[in-house]
Amino acid sequence: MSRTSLRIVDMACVGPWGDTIEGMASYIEAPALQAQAAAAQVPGFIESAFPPLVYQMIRSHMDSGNVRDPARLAIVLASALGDTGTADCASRNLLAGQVHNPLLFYQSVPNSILGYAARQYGLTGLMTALAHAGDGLSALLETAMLYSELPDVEQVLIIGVELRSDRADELLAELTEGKAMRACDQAVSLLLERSSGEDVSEAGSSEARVWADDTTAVVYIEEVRGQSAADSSDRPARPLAGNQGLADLAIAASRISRGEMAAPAAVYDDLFGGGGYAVTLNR
Amino acid sequence: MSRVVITGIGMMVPGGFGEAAARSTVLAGVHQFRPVTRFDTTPFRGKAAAESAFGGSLLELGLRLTQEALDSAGLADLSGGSLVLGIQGDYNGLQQYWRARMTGEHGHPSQQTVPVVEFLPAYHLQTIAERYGMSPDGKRLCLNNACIASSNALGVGYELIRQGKAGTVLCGGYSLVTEEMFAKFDSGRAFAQDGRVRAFSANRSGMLLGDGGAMLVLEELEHARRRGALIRAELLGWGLSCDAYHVCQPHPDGAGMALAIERALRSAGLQPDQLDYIHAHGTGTPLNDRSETAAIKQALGDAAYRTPISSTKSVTGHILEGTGALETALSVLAMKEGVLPPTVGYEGQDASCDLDYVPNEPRRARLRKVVNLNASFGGNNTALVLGHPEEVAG
Repeated sequence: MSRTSLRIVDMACVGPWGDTIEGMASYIEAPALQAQAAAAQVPGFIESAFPPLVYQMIRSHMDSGNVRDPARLAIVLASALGDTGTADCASRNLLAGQVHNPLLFYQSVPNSILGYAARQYGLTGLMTALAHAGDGLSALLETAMLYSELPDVEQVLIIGVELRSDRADELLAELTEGKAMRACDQAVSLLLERSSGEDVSEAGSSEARVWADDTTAVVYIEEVRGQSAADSSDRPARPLAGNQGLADLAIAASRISRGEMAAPAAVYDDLFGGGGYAVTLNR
Repeated sequence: MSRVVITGIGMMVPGGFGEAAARSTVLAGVHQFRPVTRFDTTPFRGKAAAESAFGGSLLELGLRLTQEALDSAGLADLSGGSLVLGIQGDYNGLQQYWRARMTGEHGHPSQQTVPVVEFLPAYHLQTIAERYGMSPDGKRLCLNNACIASSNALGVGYELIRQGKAGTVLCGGYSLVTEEMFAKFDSGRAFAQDGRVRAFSANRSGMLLGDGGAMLVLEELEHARRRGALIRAELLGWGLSCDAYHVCQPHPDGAGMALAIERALRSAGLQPDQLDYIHAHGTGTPLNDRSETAAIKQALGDAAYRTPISSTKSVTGHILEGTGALETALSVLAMKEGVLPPTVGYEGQDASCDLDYVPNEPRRARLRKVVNLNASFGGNNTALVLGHPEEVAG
């Protein structure tokens, strides 16, 4: 159980719904058939939506003015199924006897788009890419909590990204034992920083709440707690496979901050095949 | 803050499993490069790699290394522990998936059948965790950030223990030469043209791939002492950085790697002249070795000229995601044996690489503090500082 408290500074998303948290919430409630997200192309990256989605998330936070010091920003990128666009294209090319495209060579690892963004924005901090077997939220938060304690880190940007493909759908069906889960191109990101005030978890009550202003509240991630398979078995399959936990957290944080949802609240990171994690949010 | 020690190691080099294979190849300076036999290299410019005799799948390699690490640590399972891997998935699974769809063939005579799900790195994480009895409370993290993946995993494991979030963490990574990865590096014209890795040498022409990896049991010092575990090394600190320079080329001045080294030394509470050996990333590419040398000079100052440096990739090839874990395990072995592993295939000094690279022959040395360096695409760099077990006191 992790109890480092992280403050949510900024949130962003992009998917078939557009780039608003409210749009994402509506999509989850009534998924549309459209599966592609509109993200601008990134020079040098081809054939896959993965790098553009990641870059759009980083650009969104850098342009927002919420990143205080690019040299002290850590980035943690996570995906369950990874860059299926690049991997599948390269594999098919090889089997078809086509010479590999050198662009796919470096694009085949998630570091490369992080490196591109690093050059654009002068990011010299910690960068890590994760693979996970579920909704990814716990892996992102656990890593963010660890990194937020380091002396060279002031803020941590966590990004979850997934692509839609037939192979992804087949894998999801296999991993979730046939539960229907829609995959679409989408990314969600949160800019986090370690709580600088009283530690919410140590206080253990609402006494440690910190309010941003008169209309919205600062939202904290208080706790990541493991769950057994039995705890998660009654939750239905949800449509943002691989990134649902992070999406749910962003939606809950948005609603809590506006007073539309009671706090504390829990969101869940379900592992493929059962079990997972519960994440507690508070104001 | 808690101290972190290494109490168990399972490792494989191209020459085989365990310390004996590493001693007779890496420490002795016997390179393992041969013409590739695992697939047809006719379509490619490159022809050589350091393949092992291991005939199992990538996941089976991970499971075997896990078992050997736990045996080495005297642990029966991972109950109460955490797991941090740094790997990519098994590309044979992906290739077989697409071959079946494109040609109707479901197998390949020279390949073990691998389900496509094993292409997912986290499937390895879950399989190892479940096979070895991890509880839901144990941390499970899988890093897939290319050639720093398993050294970053060790850094994360270190932080889990140092910050009091875990008592025992199994960390590591592994890789096998596959046609898919071979094709990618070949397309990038990254391979050595003469079938040898000649790291830091004037005539170096590139890198080569190899089989291998390591799993290491990290443990909080007092936890290890209470159960009477054999302490093999102390993980004293680590650093992670980004060049902010290029998608796939290292910073020519080594700025990012220097920053990782400086962060690691600060984390370990050491000065540059306290290092006895630098286990370099040393891929053998013209750009990497020049950049890495510049980084070492920038971070260590005059001490760079007094500190021996070598590349074990000149024997093993590049183990990709597994390289950081394997080279950490080899560093521990080098400290234990009191031997500097040589940079083999070294044939002459490059003006931009003018440090002591322990050329061609192993050297006896008293190794008490060692730093292991790794770098990856995206300009990411790691440095891990290790201490000899005899230095663990107090």
